Amino acid sequence: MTKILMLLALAATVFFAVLPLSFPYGTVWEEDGSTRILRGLEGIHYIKERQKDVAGTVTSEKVKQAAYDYQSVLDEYEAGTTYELLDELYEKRIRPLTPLTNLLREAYTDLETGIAPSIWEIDLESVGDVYKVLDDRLSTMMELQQEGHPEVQEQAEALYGQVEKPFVFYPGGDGNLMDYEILVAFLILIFCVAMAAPVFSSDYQTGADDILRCTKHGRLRLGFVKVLSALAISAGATILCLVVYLLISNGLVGWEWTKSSMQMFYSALSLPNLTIGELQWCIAASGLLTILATVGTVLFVSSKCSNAMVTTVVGVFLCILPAIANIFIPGDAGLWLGTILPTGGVSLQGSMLYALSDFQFLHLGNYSVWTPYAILAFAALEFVGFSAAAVFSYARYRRA
Amino acid sequence: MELQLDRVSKRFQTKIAVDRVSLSMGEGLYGLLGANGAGKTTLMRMMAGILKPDAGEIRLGGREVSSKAYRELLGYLPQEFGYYPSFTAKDFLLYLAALKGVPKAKAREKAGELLELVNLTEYAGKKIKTFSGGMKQRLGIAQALLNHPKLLILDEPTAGLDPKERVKFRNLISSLKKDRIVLLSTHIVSDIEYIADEVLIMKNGAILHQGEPKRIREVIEGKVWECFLTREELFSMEQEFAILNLREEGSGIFVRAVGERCPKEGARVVPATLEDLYLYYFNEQQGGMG
Repeated sequence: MTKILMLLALAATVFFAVLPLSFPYGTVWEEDGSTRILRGLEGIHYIKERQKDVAGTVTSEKVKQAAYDYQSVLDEYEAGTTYELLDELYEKRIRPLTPLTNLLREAYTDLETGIAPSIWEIDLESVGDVYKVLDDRLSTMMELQQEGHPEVQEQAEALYGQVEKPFVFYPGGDGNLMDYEILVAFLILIFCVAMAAPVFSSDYQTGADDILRCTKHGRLRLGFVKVLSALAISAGATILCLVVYLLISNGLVGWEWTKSSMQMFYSALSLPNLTIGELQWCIAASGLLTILATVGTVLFVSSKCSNAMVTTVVGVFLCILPAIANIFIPGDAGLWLGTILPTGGVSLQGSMLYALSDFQFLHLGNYSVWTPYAILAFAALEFVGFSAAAVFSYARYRRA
Repeated sequence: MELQLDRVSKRFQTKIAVDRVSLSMGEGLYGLLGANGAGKTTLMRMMAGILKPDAGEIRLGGREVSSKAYRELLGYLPQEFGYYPSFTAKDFLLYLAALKGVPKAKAREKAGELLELVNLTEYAGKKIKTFSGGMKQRLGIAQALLNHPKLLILDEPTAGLDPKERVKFRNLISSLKKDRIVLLSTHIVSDIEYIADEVLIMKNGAILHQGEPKRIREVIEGKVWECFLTREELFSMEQEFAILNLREEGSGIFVRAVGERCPKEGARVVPATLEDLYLYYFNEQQGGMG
């Protein structure tokens, strides 16, 4: 059963590593006016080629120059907006500039409405250092979002102050690769829960435990070995699948992409000082900790419950609970629940990826903590606490 | 070595499953006889350390039932338990040997010996899911013997076996009683009648009698009657006598019954058997915990 589950997890990993690479596409205009759509690796190669001029270090001057080029295309063709440009012209001259011009748009986003201005609406003569504008933008945004929590503003500014600037951009991949990494981690989580759920419950249910429990090492030591084995198998499967995922996806896209600043693919105001490669490993590491915390929790449930099916259902429910909390419980309560639960790190609606690219803080009185830190801290506590509790609970279990 | 139970009790909600049982057992084979629901399994599970008594103490040679030292001396075959179906017989024994702390090198040798003892050598490499009920029970005995236990508890080991397998199993158990305490529970009298050194009769959670089969029969010796009755006579006799057996013969009914007085003129006293004693005690159906 465990072998089958792990093979399924590996097969799903390979599938999901390749799937998002089929999404990027580029349109090529032939000499006769017809168009050809390039998809998959061909599409990725085309995008990399098209954006090679904007690749590298994203200095403030480079951003402004991209905006000038953008505006000059509009002026050249006497267009008020890009919607008035021919598709071919947009694809060839405007679209390659967008990774840089988007930084400028975000820097001037209306904080009240959240609407970013179009490039042609920005007076480039008045724009100074783009990164200074972004710094100021973060302070203003945190003031508005975290009113009454000055310590949060300080934390956010300190974090953003550590972000390496100017940013770095290399084309090739996109956010889908990280989304699918979370999806792969979530699938491994489900497989590991299915593997861990019957560890104790099944022996209770079949009565096999009656014999094991009467042996010299059949209590504390057996419980310890079973918990350790389940955790080791889960850790091994998670590491294997996530490494395979990253090797396949980055290998096909090109490793240079992973040197890009996270801020070039998510919000320019994102707080972590991470490259895309580091972000991917962060997601993988937190995914591993999340899976171990969840397996520990499920083992604890298994040590208490004499029905393997009930344990499995509880485990699977635990996996989807953070998503339910995020959708149906508004405000801080939903955020707290999604963060506290051991499965929060790879939840489909509020994973570590979302926590890292978002600006949410948990508040407890005058104390505030950034959610990625809280997710890691709770997962670490739950991993150790529930794993140990499972061992002792099994050792003390007595069937009525 | 002696197994001692001192006022051991267990209650499940309102039902008293075991009621202040005190016992002392030395080496030999003990048959625990009782109807379904008499409390045999509950008592044995407490002796195996699986259930915690609500009150009382269980000790083997001074070792407390919940201690590792007690478990080192224990071999237990539950009434029903889950075998790992995809394990082979040999792997199953090696797994249990590891849990019982048998050194790896010795475990292989011991597993081989025990498979031979229970006549499963040729099935050592076969998966347990292919085994018959009798083969599984024999494998169960083998696992219980892996650590050379001083206390061997067998809870209804013959349940579900056909008569031929039951005889084989009975002989096997009989050969295991040397240098150890073997406690065998059953509700089938013939399982223990000829092999048990002592019989314990359990009813409603209490031990009613403990003694050698011959001595224990003395309780009803001289009170077992056989006679021919009419239907009307049988009806009135049922009020006062425990009917052990009856069969229609011609116009009358042949009856074997236990009672203090002669049921009818012409009735004759016959030697009591253990089964008579059992039927005498468990004439009424009981429910409750097994």
